Amino acid sequence: MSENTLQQPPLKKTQSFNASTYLVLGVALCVLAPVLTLLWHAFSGNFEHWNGLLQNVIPNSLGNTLVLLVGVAIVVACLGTGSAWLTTAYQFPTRSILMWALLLPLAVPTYIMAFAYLDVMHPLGPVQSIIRDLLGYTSPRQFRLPDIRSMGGAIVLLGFVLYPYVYLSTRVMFMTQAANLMEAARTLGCTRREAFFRVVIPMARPAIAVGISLALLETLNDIGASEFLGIQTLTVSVYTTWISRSNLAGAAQIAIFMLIVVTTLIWLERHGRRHQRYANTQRMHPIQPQKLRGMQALIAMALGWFPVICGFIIPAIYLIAESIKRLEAVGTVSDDLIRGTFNTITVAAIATFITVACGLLIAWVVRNPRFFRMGKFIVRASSLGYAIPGTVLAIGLLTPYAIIDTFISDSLSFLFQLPPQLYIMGSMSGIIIAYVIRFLAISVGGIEAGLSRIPPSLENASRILGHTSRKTFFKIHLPLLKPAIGAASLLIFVDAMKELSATLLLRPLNFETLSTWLYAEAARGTYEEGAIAALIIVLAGLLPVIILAKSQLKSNY
Amino acid sequence: MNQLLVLDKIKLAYPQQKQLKVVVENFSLSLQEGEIGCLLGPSGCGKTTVLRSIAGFEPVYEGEIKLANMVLSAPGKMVEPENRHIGMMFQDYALFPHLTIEQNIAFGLKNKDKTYIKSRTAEMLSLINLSDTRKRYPHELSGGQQQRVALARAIAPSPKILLLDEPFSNLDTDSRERLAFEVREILKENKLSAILVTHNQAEAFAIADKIGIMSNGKLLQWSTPNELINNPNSKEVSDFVRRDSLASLREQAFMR
Repeated sequence: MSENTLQQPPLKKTQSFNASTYLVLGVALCVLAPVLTLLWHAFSGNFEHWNGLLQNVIPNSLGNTLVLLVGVAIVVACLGTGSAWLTTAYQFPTRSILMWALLLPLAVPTYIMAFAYLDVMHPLGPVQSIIRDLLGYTSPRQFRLPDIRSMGGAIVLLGFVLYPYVYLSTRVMFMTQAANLMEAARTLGCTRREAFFRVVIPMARPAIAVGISLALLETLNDIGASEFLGIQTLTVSVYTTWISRSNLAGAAQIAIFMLIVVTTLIWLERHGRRHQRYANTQRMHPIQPQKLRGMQALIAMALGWFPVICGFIIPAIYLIAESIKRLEAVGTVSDDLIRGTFNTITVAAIATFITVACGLLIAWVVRNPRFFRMGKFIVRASSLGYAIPGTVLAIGLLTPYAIIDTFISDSLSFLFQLPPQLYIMGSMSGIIIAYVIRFLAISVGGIEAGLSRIPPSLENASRILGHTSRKTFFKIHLPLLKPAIGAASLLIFVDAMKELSATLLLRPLNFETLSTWLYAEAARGTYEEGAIAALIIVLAGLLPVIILAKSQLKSNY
Repeated sequence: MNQLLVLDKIKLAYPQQKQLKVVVENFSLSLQEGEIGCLLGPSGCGKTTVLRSIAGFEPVYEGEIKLANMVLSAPGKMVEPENRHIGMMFQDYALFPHLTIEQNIAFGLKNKDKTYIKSRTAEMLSLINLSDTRKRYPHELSGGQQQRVALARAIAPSPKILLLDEPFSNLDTDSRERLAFEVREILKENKLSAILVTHNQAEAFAIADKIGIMSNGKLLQWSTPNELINNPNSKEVSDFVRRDSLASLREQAFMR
């Protein structure tokens, strides 16, 4: 034992700091870069902007955003909790199909919902025509439903596609926790209904909060629906401030307000989760559903299927009908649509690959319990990328992209006399980087969950049998992680296919994906092949929903 | 005397927030070539941590660990587990679920030519009497069979010493004793040295040449089973041995 080493705890240098650690920190800092850029822009820029913004833009769009958020929160809370309770506490025909069918609206992105309903609910569209026929009116001037292009319309439409977040989180709660407490309440003299309001709802409050905050993050991210429906939200303001007024500092300053709202929502989510670990984890038996007959069963069925019909079946039928109409009329799809589909799949596939690779690296390095705490904190912070709305992310990335482009272009023209060029902004890389940042949390989270199911003794066993840490990863963990990697890849791929708000701002000139193509058509009001593009996105979106439905239903029985 | 394994006044600890939580301090023992040693003590006394430090999964904060006169662990120094030539059998067996029995056993035989790997794997399979299950996956075997596969996998690369962490705790009481004798026979036939960790006295006495009684991170006595019973060096040791033999008698009585 040498004296000089007596006081020093033996740090395993090879495990604390090596190439992969720096790589992980690099990725994490990339994720944080857009937020830091925004802060810098907002506070170093011209403060006269602030005054103008605070007087003209902010009150209106902040107000709109808050009204929209509150409205959507109420709608998703009622629809989500109601349908979750209906399907756990009551037995009625089609209940078992309804349990997974309630998840289907997850496959419909908000902008496609708005796109479809704008046409369906148009004064000259199918719904209003039928109502007029039934009531005996002949002209839209005599009778029309309230315009869907309004705040109310936006709240309802978003609510019908976003309620599954609440449905999912509360249903798990009801399935695992409710039965015993219900029984206790009943023995204490509550009726079923009283027990629901006095025990079940208060108990499910954290789960409802988690579901609502996820739905609201989606609402905040949405640009298509609010734009189509004419709601001037913060997201739309950021977009127009940059696109039509080229005012980057202004856009950044509005984006700061969105970040504040995002932070509040995340706090709400964390706050909701805070007691989860104290929840009773004993094996609980599910509630015995009460059998409904006759009229009651019919009412339950109608209530249960209502959100599915509005949130999925109507838009799906509309899209299919429009696509068939279009294909019958024209006979073929345009080259632009084929190119758009190809672009979408290419970008989504590359982004998925990179995101999953980064996720593997991060989850693997952070898994080490001796990984230093500051590093862990940075990685945790970077997983908040999913919460940053796409528009805000894009605005935050413009400056870093410009700096990197200048650097690459300058050094290449200096070294090889190449003409100056935009290497990131002018190519797909701009969108891909944004997707990686936005979806990194999905891959890190999924792979970490997968890793936690692999007993640490397997790693020890492999090491003691003579394999290095790296080799152990490839021989043991990678094969065992296949299901987790597959699930994460699918989720990221589909989310990337749907992505609209960041893509709109970062795509190179004349580069269209399915979602931007749809957006352009809807913005022009020329509903040509938009329905086909939307249908492709919805069909892709169904895949993860089916897998989710399967795993949810299995784990709860 | 040919000392194979020497732990010289080692200190083991976990960093907890800013402080160190000491698990074991001033801990020494030595094992000779071909001997089977056993650390016996209640759960939480630090015996598994000692085993893991020998394997190279836990750093030592003071003292050193030597195997065949080579320093493996010392403050600031740590030979990686894969370079220690130590075999280990884990409490949960840690069989790789995606590999067959055969592939599991061959896992540690790297940098060897194919014919050797094949013959060594076959030899191991026949040693544990599981030749006909070689193409199966771990979850298709019974607990006792899995335990034997874990043993075969650990000794296939001919380690200098074998570590066994509660090897029989996942088995029912009946097969426990039978397997303890079986393992002892396999170890002795192959002239393997080993250290076993257990909280079950019957197991320790069935298998070990030397037993160390541990309590609260201290090694109370390190000697042969006979000496432990006839010549305990403290009241704590004699109490522990007696109480535990009573407990095992009672256990046996209830089994009948």
